[in-house]
Amino acid sequence: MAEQNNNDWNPKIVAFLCNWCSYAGADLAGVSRMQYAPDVRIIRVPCSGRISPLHILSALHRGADGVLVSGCHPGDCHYISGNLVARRKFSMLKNFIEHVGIEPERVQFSWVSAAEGARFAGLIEKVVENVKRIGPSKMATVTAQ
Amino acid sequence: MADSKIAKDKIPELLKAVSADYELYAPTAEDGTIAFRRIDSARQATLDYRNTAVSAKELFLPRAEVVYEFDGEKFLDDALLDQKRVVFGMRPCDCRALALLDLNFDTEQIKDPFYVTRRQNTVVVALACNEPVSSCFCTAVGSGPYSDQGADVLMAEAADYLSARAITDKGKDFMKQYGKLFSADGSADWKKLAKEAEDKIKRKPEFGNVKASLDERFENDIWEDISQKCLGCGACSYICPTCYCFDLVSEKTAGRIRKVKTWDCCMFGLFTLHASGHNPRPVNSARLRQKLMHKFNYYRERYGVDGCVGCGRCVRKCPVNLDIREVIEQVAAAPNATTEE
Amino acid sequence: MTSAQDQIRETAAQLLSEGKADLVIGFSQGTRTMRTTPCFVTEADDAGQLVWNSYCSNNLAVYLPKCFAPDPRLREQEPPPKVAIIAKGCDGRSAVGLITEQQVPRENLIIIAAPCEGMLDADLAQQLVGQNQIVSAAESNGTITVKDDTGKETKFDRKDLLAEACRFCKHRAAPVHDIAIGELGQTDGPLAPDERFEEFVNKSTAERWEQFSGELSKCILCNACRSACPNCYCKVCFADQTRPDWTGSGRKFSDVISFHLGRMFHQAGRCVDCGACVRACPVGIDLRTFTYRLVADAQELFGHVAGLDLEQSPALRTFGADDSDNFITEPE
Repeated sequence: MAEQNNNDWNPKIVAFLCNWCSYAGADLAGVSRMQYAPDVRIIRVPCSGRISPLHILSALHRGADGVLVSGCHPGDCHYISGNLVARRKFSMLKNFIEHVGIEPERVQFSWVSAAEGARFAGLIEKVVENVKRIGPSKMATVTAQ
Repeated sequence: MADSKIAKDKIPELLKAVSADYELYAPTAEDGTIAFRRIDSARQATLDYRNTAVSAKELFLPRAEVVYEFDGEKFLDDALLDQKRVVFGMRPCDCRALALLDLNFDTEQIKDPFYVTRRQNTVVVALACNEPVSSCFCTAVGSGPYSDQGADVLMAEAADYLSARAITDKGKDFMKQYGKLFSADGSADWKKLAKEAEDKIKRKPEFGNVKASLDERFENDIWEDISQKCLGCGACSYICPTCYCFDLVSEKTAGRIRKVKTWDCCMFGLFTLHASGHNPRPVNSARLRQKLMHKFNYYRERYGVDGCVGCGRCVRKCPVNLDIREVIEQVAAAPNATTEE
Repeated sequence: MTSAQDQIRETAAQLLSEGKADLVIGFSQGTRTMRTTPCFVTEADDAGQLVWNSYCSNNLAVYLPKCFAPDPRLREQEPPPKVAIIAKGCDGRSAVGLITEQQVPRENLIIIAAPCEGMLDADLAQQLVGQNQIVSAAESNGTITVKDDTGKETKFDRKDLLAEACRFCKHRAAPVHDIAIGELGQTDGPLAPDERFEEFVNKSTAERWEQFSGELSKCILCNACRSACPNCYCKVCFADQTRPDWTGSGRKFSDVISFHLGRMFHQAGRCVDCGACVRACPVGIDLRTFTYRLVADAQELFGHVAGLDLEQSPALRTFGADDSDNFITEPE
């Protein structure tokens, strides 16, 4: 993919954060006044296991340049095993999306706990940087031959 | 207007001239599929084909089109086709399909402006069929490999030239426009060629009495039997040149709403699902019955002709080899006894 | 394979006359050369319609959910039928999947495993012959001789006409069965290397997108792929929902992509690679090159092969404590 001139373009990134860990971690980053890129729109869900691959694909379909899904660390899920079931879905989905030629940076996953404000900020910085590097998503505007 | 002729090796020149004045669509071979595609300098037409996988219906009834658009303040003008187009090399079955669609979309009382504009802005140059496929049955439904219905110009393929005759006024204008690429005295023995082609259609199902049979067998166990293998997949309707069922759906994007007309299929389970939850065609047998009734009963009742041109695409493409020729015969042969409820 | 055909007919007739089955699902002669058509036999006398040859490609398991789904027209449902199905490896694995997902009751299903050395692709043969129509085909000792409507004969090696899914099939015999007909196909090793998939995997991201979007640009959203797949039995498909609207109106190409990505991913851990979707597609989209990723991953990541074992839980319904985290993004 060609390098984009990123000065004028701000990516739209949708982040699905689980309420108990990742969302709380994001909140901690905010309360601690940590600075990080503002390009992420957060959607709070009870558990990363709530996220269906359709949610992720739908975000891409409607124009998101990047999607992030973040949940509790395996073993720490508030609902015990939600993120463990999600883990299989996510790894297969990530491979599949990459397989059909969508850049792997478009859909990213992470584990962030409620105490990891700094980790969350660092994560967002990294995700935004990754997406900026690959440029706007073709999905919403792609046309047939 | 007498027949004209054009040597086969002059066809590329003709197509080049036409594509300078019109948007030209002709059969092309790409990825092993033959379909009607836009011809430009990058793409060559092929006339060495039996028939396309999907019909040229898409050019007149697009798979999806915007029927109105609201930008938040006002409705935008209808996006009617204004380019002039030529479709070159359509088989008589597909041309007749246009004539059948005209019966429905271009009537005294009501006209679909999108369809009518496309029809008016398109010259159909048909290529008669010398080599019907074993699944063709156009002669059983009032058509034939040399039928001129729905076409503006009809061409017949002889050894190394094509003989062409204008069928409509639009066709006459087309032949005049490109007259210098044709030569006069293009007569071919059309009658003989037509008969030879018709004789090649070996399987001629008897469709003469179909409407009456169908009328008598609406409530009949036969529908359960013949629909068992049908997957309700809809492939037949989508590739059929006369199927025109559609759905209207909303497309919402930031700041505007569009109403989109898309292809739909009576074979789909949700096609007749009411908002209340009731579905008058809840099972596959009812839907397959509807398909056949529509094509061979209701269309005939309303317009005096069958809603099928015998192109055979449904026979070729059905994944379970549900053969409409066989099915019609089975229905006609079913004992005329209604089920006891 | 004629003797397998006779055995199938005898078995079907016996099951029906003894009342052990109400319905036998198999194949009968099609109306076109090199084709068969699914056949539903309810009377022992009709068992003679059943055939078994190199053209029995459809996955018959697609009919199973319908056999056991409630009839919306009846107030009181009839007791579920006893259904026997003539199963290749793929049909058998699909049946196991459907039993596991509780669409088909095991005790009402009789799986008759039939021998399969791969089924032949009539469309492929036609493509290789060209525009002249194939009117007859004869098979003998691994050679297929086809005759076209000009009288010209062409000979093919059987393995060159195999349907793609059959070429790379690794499970040719129904793993769970009640009756076995003849010598069942070997259950390890495909008939050919998986070239098309390997070639695709080795392309760059941009090249893969180009191929993927190029193939899918042929799609007319007819949904034949969905209808032919035994695993697609949802009463309301995600693609038909309007609230939420997952795939849009279908007008834009991104809507088409959404449908396919969603539909394919619903097969994750469930797809048996039978090729029914490819066979059903009227415009010839090469779906398998994309869906096979899901089959390969289920095996590589979780050691899961769909449909081999009735006790096996679906891959995405369980988890392993040692499932990999290597897809996670770590901030620096």
